[in-house]
Amino acid sequence: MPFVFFKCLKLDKEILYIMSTRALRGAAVRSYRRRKTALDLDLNQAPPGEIRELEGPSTQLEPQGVQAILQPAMIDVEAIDDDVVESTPRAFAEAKNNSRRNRSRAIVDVDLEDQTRVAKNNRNKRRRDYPSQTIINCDLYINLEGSSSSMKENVRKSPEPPEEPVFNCPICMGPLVEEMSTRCGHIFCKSCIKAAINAQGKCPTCRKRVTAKELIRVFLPSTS
Amino acid sequence: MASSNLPRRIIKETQRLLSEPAPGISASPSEDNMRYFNVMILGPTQSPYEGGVFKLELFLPEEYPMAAPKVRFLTKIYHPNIDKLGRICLDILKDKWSPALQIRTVLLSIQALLSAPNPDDPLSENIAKHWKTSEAEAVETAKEWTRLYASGA
Repeated sequence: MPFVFFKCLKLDKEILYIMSTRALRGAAVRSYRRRKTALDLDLNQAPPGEIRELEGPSTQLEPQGVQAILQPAMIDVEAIDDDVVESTPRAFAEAKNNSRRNRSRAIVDVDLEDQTRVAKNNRNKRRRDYPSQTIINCDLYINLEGSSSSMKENVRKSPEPPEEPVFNCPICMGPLVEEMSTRCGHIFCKSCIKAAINAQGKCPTCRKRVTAKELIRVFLPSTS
Repeated sequence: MASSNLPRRIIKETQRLLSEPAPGISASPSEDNMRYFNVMILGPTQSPYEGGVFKLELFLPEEYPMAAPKVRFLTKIYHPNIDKLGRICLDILKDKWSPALQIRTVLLSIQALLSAPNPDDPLSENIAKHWKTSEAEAVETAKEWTRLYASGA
């Protein structure tokens, strides 16, 4: 995927372009099946010069605007399979050396695919015509992966099931039991807030006047 | 010992006070009554009480946390909101008490009161008058009392 690839080149601004255009492209390809006109328009705008911008790691990328990067992306839609040998070793090493994101082998592989696609596109522009569902999936996957590093963190930690947060009652300082909200929105155990209202008639958190009648039973959501 | 029917909250608060004490504040429960705490508060810097170590006692009544803890200075202190018996004029210990407050927040409030004496709401009329008529002189007296009575002995 160009995302990780470009990251190696420290072209963070371009990454943003790529990320947004990827999403656009997915949409464009999908709409192609419904209305061919939209895609035709895009294809007509493919300027060869801009494809060169995506040529390889040695080329300095200039921000070309959404359209420019959109075009090469449109072109390379299908050619994932046969060129892997061509650029694998360098790209793999580079990715491994330069990017923390590439620790997962699966992601590196996708990278390679995309890189080879970019290289190949310079030679075979004709290939752009048939969109392939597989590649759309690949892109979506990468977009998700690349769009946030915290997501990557989650992926790494995924074996452990996420811990449900426990909310404590400010009065008993234990986990909430039959949690109820005051009308000012502060949540306590049912028995705690009732005792507090009997004692003071005020919200323990904000001191607004509250009555037991106005209490609302609330149900806290889970994280799943 | 009564700690068997001590509310969980008091146990939790005590553990936290001991494991993560607030800066300049220490509070430890008495061995024979877990509701009675020996407290020490360091005089805040840039206050007349700087350099002093002030002892207090704190007691959690049966109704706690529905009722405020009872707190009193044991160390003599010259402060318009603290009387000669060590009683403290502080709203959260009276009508502004809330069960969401804790031992820690009460002690932090007392520490803040040392930094910001409030002679307009006095407990000691004489000290408050002294504070309002000649603050510099009152501050000097407070410093002297700190040296005399709160010098860490």
